[in-house]
Amino acid sequence: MQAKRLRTVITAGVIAALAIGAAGCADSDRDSGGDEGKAATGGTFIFAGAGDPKNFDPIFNDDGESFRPIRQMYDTLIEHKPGTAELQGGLAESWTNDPTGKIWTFKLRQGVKFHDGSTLDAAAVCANFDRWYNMKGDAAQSQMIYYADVFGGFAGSPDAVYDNCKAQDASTAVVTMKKYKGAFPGAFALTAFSIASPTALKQYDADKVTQNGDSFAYSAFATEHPTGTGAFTYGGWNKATGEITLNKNPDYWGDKAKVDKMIIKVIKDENTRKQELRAGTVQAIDFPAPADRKALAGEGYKVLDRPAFNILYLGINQKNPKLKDLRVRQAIAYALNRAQLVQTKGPGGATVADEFMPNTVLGYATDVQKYDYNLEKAKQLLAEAGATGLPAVHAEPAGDLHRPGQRPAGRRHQGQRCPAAVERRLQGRRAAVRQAGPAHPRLDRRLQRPGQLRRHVLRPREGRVRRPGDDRDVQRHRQGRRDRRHGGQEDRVGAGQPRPGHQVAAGRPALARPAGAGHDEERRGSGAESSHQ
Amino acid sequence: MVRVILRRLIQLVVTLIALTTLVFFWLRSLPGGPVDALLGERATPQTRELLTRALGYDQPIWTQYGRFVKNVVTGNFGNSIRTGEPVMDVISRSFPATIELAVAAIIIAIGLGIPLGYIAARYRGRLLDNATIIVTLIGISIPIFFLGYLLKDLLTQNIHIFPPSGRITTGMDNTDVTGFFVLDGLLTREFDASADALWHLVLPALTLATIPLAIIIRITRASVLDVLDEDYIRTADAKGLRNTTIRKRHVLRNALLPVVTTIGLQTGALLAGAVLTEKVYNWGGLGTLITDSISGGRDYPVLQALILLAAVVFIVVNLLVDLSYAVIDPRVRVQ
Repeated sequence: MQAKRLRTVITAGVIAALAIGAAGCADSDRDSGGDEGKAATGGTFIFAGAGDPKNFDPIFNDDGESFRPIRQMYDTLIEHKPGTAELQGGLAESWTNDPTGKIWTFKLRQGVKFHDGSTLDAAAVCANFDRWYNMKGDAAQSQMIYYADVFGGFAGSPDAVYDNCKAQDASTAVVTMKKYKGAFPGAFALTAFSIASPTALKQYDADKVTQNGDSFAYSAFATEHPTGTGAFTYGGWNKATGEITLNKNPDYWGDKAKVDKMIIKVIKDENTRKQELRAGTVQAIDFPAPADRKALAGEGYKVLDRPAFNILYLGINQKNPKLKDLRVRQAIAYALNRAQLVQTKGPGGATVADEFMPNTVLGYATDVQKYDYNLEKAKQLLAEAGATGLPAVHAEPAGDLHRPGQRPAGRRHQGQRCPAAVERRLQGRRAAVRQAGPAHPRLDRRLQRPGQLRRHVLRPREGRVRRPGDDRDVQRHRQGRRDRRHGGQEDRVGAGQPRPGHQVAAGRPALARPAGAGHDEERRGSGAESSHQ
Repeated sequence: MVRVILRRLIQLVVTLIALTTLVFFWLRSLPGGPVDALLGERATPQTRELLTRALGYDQPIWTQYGRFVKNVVTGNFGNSIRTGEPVMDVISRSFPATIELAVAAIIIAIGLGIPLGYIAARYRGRLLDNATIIVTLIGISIPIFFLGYLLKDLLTQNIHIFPPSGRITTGMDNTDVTGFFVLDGLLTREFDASADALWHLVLPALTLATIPLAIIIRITRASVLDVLDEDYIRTADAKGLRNTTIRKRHVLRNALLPVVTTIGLQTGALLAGAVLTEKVYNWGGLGTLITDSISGGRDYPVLQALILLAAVVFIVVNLLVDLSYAVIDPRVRVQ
């Protein structure tokens, strides 16, 4: 007994000795005591994001959570006016294009410096365009999703849109395209096409994307040394605590940040974000749960709504022989009671759309062919077309009506009517901000980030029992979607980056055809083009 | 003893080989696979083709399998799809968080569970016993996420005592040495960080401890009751030993065998499955990693590694439990 007690005491002693001895055997990384000497500071702003970024090289990203810090650190040539899809000067004070729409001339802002001290000039802008176009290696190219989409391809590809970029003088960059594309100039405002410092790109081997196992490793530029012209400089990403630190850029060309430091804290659970906001440990959060809107507003928090940027639509496959007849398709459009669907299935504030894009998008038109609910007319049209043995309609929303970021709660409208173009004024796309307000105007814009377009797929059935595999196309289509990344994927269509009409058609033309807005291709085509003029 | 360990190690290897193969083919049989997970809906067919080539999916399946096994054996699980950093880095960052949480929880569970179980047995049938049983019933039957939210709502929202989530206050700027924040604070003399981390640990650890605590109480109680009826207790009593001696040397020691088994199994479960608690408290450990990897963009490389890791942890913990029998019970050693 005695011996055992002694052993216990010794053990305790050893542990205590270890603890004492251990203390001080590692060095603290903290800034030691420099704070006292400093003048009064603007403080730290802590914002709760909803997911991890991928990396900080704009061109290799396509999701909102990566773009969140990227937008603080980089600028684009052209920007969107906060909360709208209208364009305004960014790094380029102004821009012009020749009548063919192939030559774009950017007049650059003077005296803009990258975070590494190098100057933003025409040569730097061209270096970025050339870098994207000449990117080598399957691994790197495959991660440039926005680039491949907008610019068609890379050096050597017959579909490539980009031709060359010339520095006319230090502040004039002339970008020449091989062909006209309606995506411009809007695409120049995409965050993926932010301008990075060519010096840093070279120094940190930015183009080096290496494949490893089933994924990729990115360069030091993308992970440790992102260098742009933005209002904040990179201050590190502590992955263990999920904190991305951004420091104020004192030399920023625009409105300087009012805080010294911004921390983006990754909190993936929306309820936890709300609780942290209430506890006062974060000052603002993104993506509160729609159900919390009232409560938060009632508690005095400033809840900002994002304008609607989503369209629910019904695609009709015109290659199907039964749907080839225009009258049949019109009949379907007339048979849909869209007003009712909006009312019963849509979130509060949703409206019926007459157009294939939300009214926030440039080129939105109101004088379009409308198809109000009219069952008689639908029947009449079907009779005229002589359509018999028409299949029942089966459609699945690509996302839940209330929460477009999530999987459908169940099959809606199976064997019944399905929703056509339902414009959504979302309640889900919101950000709550403490009354102190956002730290920086750019942040404000981030908070008003629009949502995204969603697809609808319609597959006719041949009047037989549905078996697994019958609609393999639909399944494949759904698998093709990057699924429901929490928060992050919402930005696929763009953070303040409207990508109208043509984007939807770009995917799988044979599968998805818009029905809600105009029924013919030329209509959609012209709509998309005009929106970019 | 050596034979036991050897046999267990062989079992471990076989299990891992089987799991590795399963995981590999599971991954390849999933709809879409990593190509879709990496690219998403905006990808053009050309991009898809590029990626398929870049990842080597255009090669024969056996070539792919060979490469996969080679990578696994050398400890290379590739890079995370979500963050692009090596999977081993991701896991070695999350693992300390989970261990910290699980250790705190198991300390609470053992520290409270064994004494409470013993007390319940001693006062069998009386108020204290009944109260303990009711509490354990509640402990077992309350879903962990519900309890988590309840505690959180009560103690972080209504009464601001504890922080709502995370491992440390945002902006604490603590130095990361081992990944165990409480320990790191001591090592680097950042005692405020250490205290802060400990403060953040309280609610999650309590939440996570409820189920093991309830189980340990019950097992201890039952086991002590069994032992109290044994002949050797009566003998000890009859030969005039003091009560405390009987309790310590005869009752507790013999009663501990099943308790240790339970603790071992529970520890394994805690390490591998603090998913709900971590989710509720945004803990950033393995549990969070698992859910993120599944729901947040199908991060297959991370999942593969996690599945294998969970298997290793479970097998190793069970081995340790078996070995601990020998320490507690001399009879096992003789066999």
